[in-house]
Amino acid sequence: MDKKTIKLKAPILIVAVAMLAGPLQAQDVPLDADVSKLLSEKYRGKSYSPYAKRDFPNEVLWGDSHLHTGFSFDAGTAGAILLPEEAYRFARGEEVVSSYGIPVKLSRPLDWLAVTDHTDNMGFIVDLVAGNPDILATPEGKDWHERLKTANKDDKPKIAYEIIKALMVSKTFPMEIYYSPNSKGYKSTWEKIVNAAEQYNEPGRFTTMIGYEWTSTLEGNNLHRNVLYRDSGEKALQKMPYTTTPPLGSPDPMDLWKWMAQYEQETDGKVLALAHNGNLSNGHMFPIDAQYTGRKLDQSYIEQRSRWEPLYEVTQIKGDGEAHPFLSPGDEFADYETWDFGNIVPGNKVIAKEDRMLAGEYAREALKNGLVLEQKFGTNPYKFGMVGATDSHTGLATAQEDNFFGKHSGYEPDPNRMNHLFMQSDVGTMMSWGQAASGLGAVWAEENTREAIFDAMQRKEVYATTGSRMRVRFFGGWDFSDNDLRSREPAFTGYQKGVPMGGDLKPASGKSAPGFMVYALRDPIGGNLDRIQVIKGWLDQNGKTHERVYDVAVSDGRKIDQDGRCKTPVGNTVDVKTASFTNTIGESELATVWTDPDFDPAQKAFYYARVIEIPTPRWTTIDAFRFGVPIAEGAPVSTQERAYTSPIWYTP
Amino acid sequence: MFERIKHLWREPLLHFLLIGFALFLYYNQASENVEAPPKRIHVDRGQVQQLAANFERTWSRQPRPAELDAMIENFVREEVFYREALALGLDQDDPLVKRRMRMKLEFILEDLSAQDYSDDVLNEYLQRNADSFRAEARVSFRQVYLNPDKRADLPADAVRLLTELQDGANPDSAGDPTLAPRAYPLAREGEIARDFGNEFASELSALRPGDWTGPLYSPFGAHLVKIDERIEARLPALAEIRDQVLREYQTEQRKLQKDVAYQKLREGYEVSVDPLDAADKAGGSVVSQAKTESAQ
Repeated sequence: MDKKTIKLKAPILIVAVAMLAGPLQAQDVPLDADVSKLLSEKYRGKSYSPYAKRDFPNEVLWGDSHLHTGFSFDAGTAGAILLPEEAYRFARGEEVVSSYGIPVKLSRPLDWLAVTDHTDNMGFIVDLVAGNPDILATPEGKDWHERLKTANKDDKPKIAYEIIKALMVSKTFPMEIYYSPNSKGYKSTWEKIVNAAEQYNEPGRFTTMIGYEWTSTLEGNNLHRNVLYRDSGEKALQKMPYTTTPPLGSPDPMDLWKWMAQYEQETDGKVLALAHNGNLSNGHMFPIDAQYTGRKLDQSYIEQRSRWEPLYEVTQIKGDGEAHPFLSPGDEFADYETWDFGNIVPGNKVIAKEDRMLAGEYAREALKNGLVLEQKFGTNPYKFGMVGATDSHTGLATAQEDNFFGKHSGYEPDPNRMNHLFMQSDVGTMMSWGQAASGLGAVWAEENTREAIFDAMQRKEVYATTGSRMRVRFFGGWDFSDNDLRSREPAFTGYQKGVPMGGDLKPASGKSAPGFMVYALRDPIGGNLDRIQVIKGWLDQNGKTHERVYDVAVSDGRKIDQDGRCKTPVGNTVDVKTASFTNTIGESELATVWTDPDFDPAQKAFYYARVIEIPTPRWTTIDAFRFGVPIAEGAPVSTQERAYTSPIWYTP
Repeated sequence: MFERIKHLWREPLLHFLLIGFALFLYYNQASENVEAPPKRIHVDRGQVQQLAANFERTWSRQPRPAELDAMIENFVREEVFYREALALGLDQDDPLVKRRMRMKLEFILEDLSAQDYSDDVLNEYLQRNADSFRAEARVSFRQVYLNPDKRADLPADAVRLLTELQDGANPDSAGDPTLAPRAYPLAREGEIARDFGNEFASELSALRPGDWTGPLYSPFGAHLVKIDERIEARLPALAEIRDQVLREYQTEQRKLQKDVAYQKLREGYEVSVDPLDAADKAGGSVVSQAKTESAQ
C-alpha cells in the first residue's frame, strides 16, 4: 500500500503503525506527533482503540421503576392477574397475554424493570376474591366479596377505590383481616416478588430491581414513594418492606426514612426512595414550611429527605409533574397532560385543588424552593434527578402511544375505555381519556447490572421521558465550545471538561458564565425533534426564586429571538383519520453548546434540558382509528412527547 | 389447646397441604375408577352466544371459527377446573371466583411440581431449545453517517465516500456529524436494533469482517459501515447458564403438568357444545371431539 497516501489522509493510523512496528520506522512518525498528546486530543477515552471500554457511562438503559402486578390489592381488585414473572417476561420482550386475554408485546425490550407492588395489604386481594372464610366472617369482607362476584370490568375499579379508601382514608377497614407485615400471607407474597426478581435478573442483558411502593395517602393526599434496592434477594428478604398502617407501619415519610436507615444498618444493603404524583398531593409533596402533619420543616426532615430521595418520578400515567401553567405562565409547553382537579381520596369524589396548593406539587417549583431551603438550612432537600415511569397496575410496562394497556386492567384496550369517569371534584372531572401513555426512565450506566443502574440513580445520571426513547446528553462546564460537539464522540469532552446531568458545576474558573453541551437523537421509531430547551431556576439576593425557559436548538432553520425563544411552532403532520404522522418536519438530531447569557456568579441556580418531539398521534387518536369510534370529547388528538433531564446545579 | 388447633386450622400452609393431599387422593381414585360414568358439560347456545358477544365487544367483529373454538375450549377448561374445585368444597358460583379458583388449583399443581432437576435433564432441554438460549452474535463495527437532509444526491455521495474510505480516508472526519456513536465494541444485535432500528440491525448481521461497505439505511439516514470483528452466536454450556435453563425448564414443566392434570380431569367429562349456526338445524347438542384416550 502507498504509505504516502495513508500519511496524508490518516496521520493517526501512521502513528499506530509506527508504534506497533517499533524503532525501525520511528522516522516515519511526523515530527509534531507527540503520541500521547495526539491521542489525548483526538481520542479522549484513555485508549487509542475506539472499541475499548470507556471509563464513563456510555450506555443508556431504558426501564420502568414503577409497575404493579396482581399482588397489589387495587390492581388485583380491578382484575389484574398477571404476576411479577409475567411482568418481567413482558418487559424483556416476550409476548404475554393480558389479564383480559389480549396478546401483547413491546415494540422493543426494556433493559430493566422494577416491580413495585403496594405493601399495604399485600397479598390480601387474592384471598378476598377467592372467599377466604376469615375474610368472609367480617361484614365488610363479605360485602366486598359478594359485590366483586357480580362486578364487571367497569365496576371492579370502583370497588377497588372503596377498599383503598376504607384502609387509607376513612380507617374503617376491619383490621382483623388486614395483611400486615407479620402475617403469613404478606410474607409469602414478598418472597414471591423477590424470588421472581432473582430468577429473571440477567446481568448484561436484563436487570430486575427489587422494590415496593409505600402508599401514604392521608386524607387523600398522595405522598407515595417507591423504594428500590441495590441488593440481592437474600438481603431484601431479611426485613419485611414498610407499610403505612400502624402499628407496624406509618404514613409519615420520616418513618419510612427511619425504616430505610434500619434496613441498611441491619443488612449492610442499600436502598433509595423516589416519590411520585405530587400533582395529586394537594400541596403536600414538596412542603415549603410545614409538613403535612403541621410540624415545621426542620433540619432533620431536610437532611433525611436529601439523603434518601435522590430522584423524583416526574411523569407517569396519572399526569405529568414537571411544570404547571399557573406556576409557569410564560412556558407554553407547561400544560402537558396536566391533572389538577384534586387529590386522590379514593372514590369518585375527591378533594378539590386550589391554586395555592400547586407550589407544593410540581418538580420545577420544588427545584426552585429547594434553593430557598438550602439557603436556610444548609442542605437542599429537593436536589433530585428525574425519571419517568408507568405506574401501570396491569403487570405491563406500556408507555408507547400505540401499545398502551392502561392504568389498570379495567382500561385494557376496548372501544369504550376513553369514556369512563376517572375522578371528580368540585372544580373538575378527569375522564379516562386523561390517562397519559407515559413514561420511561433512562439511565446512563457503565453496564446493565442492578448495581450499575442503582449507582447511576444515586448520582442522578438519569432522565425522564414520556414514553419515547430519545437519546439525550447534557453536560455543564466552563470551557465548552462548538468544536467539542463536532468531535468524534462529544461525550469524551463532556466528561473531561464538565459534569453530566445530575451533577454540580465545578467552581467557576474565572470564566464569566457556564456553558452547557446538550444533544439529543430521536427515538429510531419515533417522531423527529422540535426543539431542545434549557430551563433555568435561580435564587436572587432577596431570597426570591425565578425561572426562565430558553430555546437553545430548534429544527428546520427556525429563528431563536433575542429573548432566547423561538416563537414559530414546528407544525403538525398528524392525520387524525389514519392516526399517522410523517417525519417531514423537525430533525432527527439537535445539538448545541449554550452559554447562560444572564449568569450571576453570586446566585444559586439549576439548569435542566427539556427535549420536545414534533406532534404525534395520542393513544386516544390511535384507539379511535383502530376501534372505529369517535375520539373522546376533550382529548387532544396529538401529543408532543418529551424528555426531562436531571438538573445540573450551580452553587456560588 | 382448642384455641391453638383453631389457630392452626387458619394456617394457609395447612390449607395448601390438605388441598394438595385431597387432589392427590382424587387423582389416584379417578385414574383407577375408569368405569365411572363421564360427567357432562353442556355448552349451550346462550353460552356460545355470550362468548361471541364478549369477543365482539372488544374487537367490534364476529369471532372466526377458530377463535370461537378456542374460547369454547377455554370455557370448558374453566368449567372443568371449577367443578373439580367445587368437588373439593370450595363452592362459590361466579365467574370471577371460577377464574381465581382455577388459578389456585393451578398454583397447587405448580407447587407440587417445583423442584430442581438434574444436569442431564437440563442439558437435554438446553439442546432441544438451543435457539432460545443461544448467546447473540456480537459485532464490532464503525459507521459513517450521511444525512439525507443535507445531501441532494445521497446515493452518489455514498458511492464516492465509500471509495474514499476504502482508499484509507479517515472515518472520523468523513461523512456528516452525528450524535449516534461512531464505533460499537462487540454490540449485541438487540443493542444495535435499539439504536438504529430492526432493519439496520438485521442487514448488519449479514455482513462479515472486511473493508468499508454500504450504505445501510436506518431511520436516521444512510450509513457506511466497516465490521472489524464478529463473534458468532454460540450455545453456552449448561454450567454458564444453569439458573436460566432451570427457570425456563420449570416454567415449561409447570405448563405441561397443568395441561396433563387438566387433560386427566377432562377425560372424566363428556363435553357437548351447541355451535352458533348449527344449533337450530341440529335441534340439539353436538358431542364434541373430547379426547378419550388415556393420557399415559
